[in-house]
Amino acid sequence: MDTSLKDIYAQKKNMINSKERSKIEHTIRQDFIITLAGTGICLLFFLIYDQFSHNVRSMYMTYLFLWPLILGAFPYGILTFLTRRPNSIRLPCNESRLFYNLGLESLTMSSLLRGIFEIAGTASIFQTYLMYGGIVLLIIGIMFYAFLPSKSEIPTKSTT
Amino acid sequence: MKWKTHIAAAIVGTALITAYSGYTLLETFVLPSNVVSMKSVSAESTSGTSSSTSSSSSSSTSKKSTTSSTTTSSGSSSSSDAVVTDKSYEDDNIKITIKEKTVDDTQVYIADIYVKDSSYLNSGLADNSFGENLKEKTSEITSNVGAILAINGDFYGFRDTGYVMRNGYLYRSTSAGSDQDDLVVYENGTMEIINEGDVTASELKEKGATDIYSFGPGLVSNGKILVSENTEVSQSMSSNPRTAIGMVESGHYAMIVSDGRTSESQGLSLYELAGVMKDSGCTVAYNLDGGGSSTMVFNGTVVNKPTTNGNNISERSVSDIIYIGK
Repeated sequence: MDTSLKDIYAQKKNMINSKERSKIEHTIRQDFIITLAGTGICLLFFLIYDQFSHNVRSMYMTYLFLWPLILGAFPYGILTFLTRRPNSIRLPCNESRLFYNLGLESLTMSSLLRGIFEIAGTASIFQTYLMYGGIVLLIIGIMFYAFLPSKSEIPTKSTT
Repeated sequence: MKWKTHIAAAIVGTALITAYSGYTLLETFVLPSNVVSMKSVSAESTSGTSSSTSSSSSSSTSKKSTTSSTTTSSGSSSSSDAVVTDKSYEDDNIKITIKEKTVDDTQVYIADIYVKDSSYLNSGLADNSFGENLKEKTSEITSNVGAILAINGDFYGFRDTGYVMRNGYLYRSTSAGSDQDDLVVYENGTMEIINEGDVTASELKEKGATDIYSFGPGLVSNGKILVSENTEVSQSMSSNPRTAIGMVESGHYAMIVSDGRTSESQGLSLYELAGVMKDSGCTVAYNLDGGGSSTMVFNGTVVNKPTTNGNNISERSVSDIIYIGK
């Protein structure tokens, strides 16, 4: 392959990576907005539920909003901020985001159920299973992030 | 993973989590499980066999394996010449007087009960069966068993742990741990507050227990109040409708229900309830399921004003009742 062809190949590869990176950055921004909205919904849900629970409270309901805030909006906010500086941080692949987000959903839902059950004065083993499932999904998502590069990080050849 | 695959997987995953959560709610609040009919229990008692339920190992004995078949819809004890008024009942074996009074801005209904022996103090179950999420209104169960006086029980069917023994049959022996106080009624008519962390259900049965109620906490023991001003059920932090039962001495009992959550009656704290029980002369007293469940039925009429679904005055369906009758 002569030099000019190498350059064309590398430029094309960079274009693909740039496009892919932009797509992932956009999705991370979406994740940030969705989890931030989830935080608000959880807070609103608690405030409404609290009106009808005769002052019976559960910390799992009261602090429900912390799950999407701490495990969702906070990390995705950091990623969104850091993506403004190219190559400052690696981006999560689709598999990582999928498992992580499902884990976050499971943990939030598990906390919501626990809150409802505690306020009602009961419990369910199925809620515990959901919590464990959420933890496993979350860990798988983090493992993917740690060990599986996103498409934007496929090594490119030097253009020089 | 391609974008379309990723989105499809996310939608399927979310749908699965939602469906699972929905099932968990149904399983906890709606779907009946571990159902054991009292009739089959009664049959086993008669034949002297024992059985086990899916939730516990159980065995039957007892002087009072009663079912609805042993009672009449008109209720009452063996005597036919009972003197009945709106607030009292008296025959050869049972004497009941119901008093109303206001305590701490709360309407309280106190039933003072004398029975000839403990066979007149019984338990009734919704649908005449043991099982989670089996529910009927207190007045309906009262009618089914033909009770003279009844209050709601411990709503055992809302939980899957905690000892459940009714009329001599041990339905559930799964301990809820050392935080759980139970009320034990013995064959000789005495009552005792125990902790599930200290004794097994089987040991209590061997000691002669005929009924074990698992809600709590214990309010009075040996004539002393057990709760402090800050004690509450679970996360509850305010005054509420309450139900309690207590023993003055063997054969002399008190059943108390208080209204709450309304402008006319704010409800009692556990400490206030314990005070009412002690003032009624109880040496042992125990808190049963309260809130919307709190109901007292006398001669087929609901005496108090139970609150359900907020502040609506209507009866809530419960798992069980404690009643006076044969």
